[in-house]
Amino acid sequence: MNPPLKGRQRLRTLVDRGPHLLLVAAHCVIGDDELQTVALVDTASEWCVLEWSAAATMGFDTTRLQDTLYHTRFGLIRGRIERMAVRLLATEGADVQIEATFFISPDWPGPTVLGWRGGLERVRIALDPFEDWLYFGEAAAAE
Amino acid sequence: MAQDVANPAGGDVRSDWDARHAGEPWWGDWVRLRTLIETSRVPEARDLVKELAVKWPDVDHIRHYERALEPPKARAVPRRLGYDPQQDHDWLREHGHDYAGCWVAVHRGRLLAADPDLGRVMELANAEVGPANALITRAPERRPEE
Repeated sequence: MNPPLKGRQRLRTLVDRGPHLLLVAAHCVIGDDELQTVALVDTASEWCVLEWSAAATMGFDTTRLQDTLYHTRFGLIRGRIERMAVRLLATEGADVQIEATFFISPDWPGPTVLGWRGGLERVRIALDPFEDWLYFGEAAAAE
Repeated sequence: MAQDVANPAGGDVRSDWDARHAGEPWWGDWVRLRTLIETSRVPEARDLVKELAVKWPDVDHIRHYERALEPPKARAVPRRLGYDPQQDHDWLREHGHDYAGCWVAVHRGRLLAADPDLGRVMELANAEVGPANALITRAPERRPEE
């Protein structure tokens, strides 16, 4: 494995999850050992976003989730930015733990998303669609 | 100004939260920060929030955003799964559609719980295999192609 890429998991594409079709999905744990799930990998999404059912189950309070607006493919929604851990689970090599930033809103109708800001912007990732692997690794120290 | 953010749906997109806090002494600074966040100028927002955290050290809201806007930190950690989770994904592909409309918990290729209530599924799965040790996701709604 290329040294900067510490671990890998199977590349999963077109993953059907309820009403959502995840074009590229990552198997991960959200929060501090709270929810092992799959999330949409979307470098075109400005923020990581937590599916509302998961956020509500984790105890996020709607009355506090109103201070910021986010332009999404579902329109303009109101929510709040929160710090939260996400761990990419390896089947070979090491996991990568990210101290990430998520946008959380009761109005978000989509799936959990691993987006660019506060998430993938500091993670090395690589896709191999021929051998079906998703590689990941920690980035260099912050510039 | 943040109030200039367009709302394609029309109507008042701002909230009761705004009404409650608009009179606070830090409000103008918060609106500057929020405007940067909402217009994708996050590097500038990261710089500004550091200044605001010094200016308003006792304002929880500013301190919250100082932490929330920090660039992400990633580090390699020992592998958590001691088995290949492909069996869980295979189970979902082959059987998950039987539970359409539910959240399901699967562990080592075996269904642990299925229910429309995610909290209930997490509770049952946690009781059986411990927190975050089962794959929990919405069940597929479509049958796999033959």
